[in-house]
Amino acid sequence: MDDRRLLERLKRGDRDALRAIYEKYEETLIALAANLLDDPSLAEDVLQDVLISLVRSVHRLNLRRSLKAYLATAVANRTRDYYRRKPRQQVVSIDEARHLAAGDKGPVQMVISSEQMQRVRVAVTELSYEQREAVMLRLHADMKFREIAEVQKVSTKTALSRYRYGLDKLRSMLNGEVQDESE
Amino acid sequence: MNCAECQEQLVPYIEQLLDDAQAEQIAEHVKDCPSCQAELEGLQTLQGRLVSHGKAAAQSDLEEHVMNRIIREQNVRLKSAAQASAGLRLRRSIMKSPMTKVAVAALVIVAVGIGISVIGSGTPAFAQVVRSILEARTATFRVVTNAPDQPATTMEGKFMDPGLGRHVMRMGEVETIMIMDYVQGKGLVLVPSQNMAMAIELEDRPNELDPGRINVFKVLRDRIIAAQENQDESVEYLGESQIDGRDVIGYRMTEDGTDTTIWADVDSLLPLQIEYSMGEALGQPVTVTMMDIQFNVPLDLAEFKTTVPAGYQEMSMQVDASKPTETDLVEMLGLWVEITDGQFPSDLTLEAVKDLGQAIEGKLNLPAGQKPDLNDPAFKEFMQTFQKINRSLMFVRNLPAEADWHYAGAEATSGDKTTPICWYRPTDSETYRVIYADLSVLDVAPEELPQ
Repeated sequence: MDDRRLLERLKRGDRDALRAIYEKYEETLIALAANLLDDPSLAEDVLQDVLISLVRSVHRLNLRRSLKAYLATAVANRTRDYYRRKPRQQVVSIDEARHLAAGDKGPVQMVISSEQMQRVRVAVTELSYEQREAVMLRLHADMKFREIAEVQKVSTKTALSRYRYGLDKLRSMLNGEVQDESE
Repeated sequence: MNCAECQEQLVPYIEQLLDDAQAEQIAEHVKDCPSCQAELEGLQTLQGRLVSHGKAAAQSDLEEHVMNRIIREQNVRLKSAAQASAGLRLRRSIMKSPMTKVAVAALVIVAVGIGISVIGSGTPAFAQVVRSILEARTATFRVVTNAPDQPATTMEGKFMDPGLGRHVMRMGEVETIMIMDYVQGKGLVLVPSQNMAMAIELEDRPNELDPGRINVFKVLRDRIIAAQENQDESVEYLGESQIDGRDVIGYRMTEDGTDTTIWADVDSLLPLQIEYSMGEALGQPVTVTMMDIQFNVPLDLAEFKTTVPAGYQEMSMQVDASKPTETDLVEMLGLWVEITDGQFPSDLTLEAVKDLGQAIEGKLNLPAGQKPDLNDPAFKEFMQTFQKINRSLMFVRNLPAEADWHYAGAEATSGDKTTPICWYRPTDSETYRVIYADLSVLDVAPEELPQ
């Protein structure tokens, strides 16, 4: 069912519509939130907040873009709140990352135990938040740079360069591993 | 095109942001340049890796354990998401509603009635004061409460044995009537101007009802008599004085940091005025004066009926009347953290409770609502939250000085199992109970307590 019809049904209070929206975009939005947050276990909370605010505002919702982009924007906005409110977690360096004990970081992070995955994660946390946001919105939510620019309230050019410098930085941090792993 | 120019354009190239001519140039250069080709592949691999690892980071194979649980909870919450949004809007209007204040006041009065000394301004004094005079079948009185930075509040009170109470309170234009029947364990709060009624039911009361608690003046009178007969150390005789032209004698009783001064008629020994100060124990000094006390005036039983009058919108509320415990405190801290997104109370006082109200309001950026639907589950949930807070404040307040209560939660981050929020020593215990920021509770030896 297309998004427009789902929203129409949601406006009429149809809970199945809410569930359908949830199931349709859960994977994307959770991945986005988990990669924007230092603590991926909060991703579920973010998604929950976003869905509740969708229900709350569905009556005055007038989508200019896709529902997916709308929800991704909401996730980004909400995540930024979390990020600002919480003092930033101490981020370990790449070198330390290989020694990271999986056990002391809570259950969700526990599973990110593969060293490779952990390194990517640590590298991501070393980006500036703006760069990280640009990268994740592009890669996980398939947002256009024009849309990212709108979320970040900057020009399209700035959004693109944040993305680019983000990737550059990640590459230099993860340099030498990429080829190894891709084989 | 040289390599530097090419690499500068690789990201826009991958993202298909270049016009055809530019893209063509890049493609040409990359074809013949191994170094730029490696650069391009590196970027593409990185993107793929970020996507796949990013997804894995979010999902991963802990599904068996953690995710299943999260998803279960998620589904449960989702079901109520539609309701929740209505509920949230409601909460905001509730915070602004006089009914909230009324309901909180009602809880305080209920607590007084079951003999638990209570925090806060206003009615609590009533608890100590009105454990009443044995033979008093009825009484009428006025209660004036003074606290710093707050206008004095006045409440008209009526009492009828056994265990019936009626208070009328004015807040601005809104008159509120609170009726309690302690024997039946029922209460009623009425806001006539808004046609609102809240029926209160006391649950889990102690089986044995202490007559001293039902007849609210009894304890006080006993104390006066005891003090007259043999000079009890805790009671100070203040000598004779005059109130409104009548000769009175005064006694001051000090107990648990609160002063109670009773001025009684020289001849009848019936109290005419009772002044009650709660000292600094609750964060700010509050004095309550009960005056114009008259005993055994004829009263109409109909004034104490706890059934909802016709034409009123009704809600009901269950009030847990059992003795507050540590569990109440832990549950309250949990609720607090939930509402404030991970913060703990700055302190365990009524002032801090106001912060909580603001946190709820601040969180919900919604237009102010209309009159709340009293039977909405969200309203009831809200009231239960307030009740929980009230009970934990009572629990702390009731701890004796030997319990050595400490609160250190103001700056704590929720979920941290190493940060102690508060601790106290239960009576006859050698170890302390320490509640941590992840809401676990451990028995800790005194020498291992936080500094």
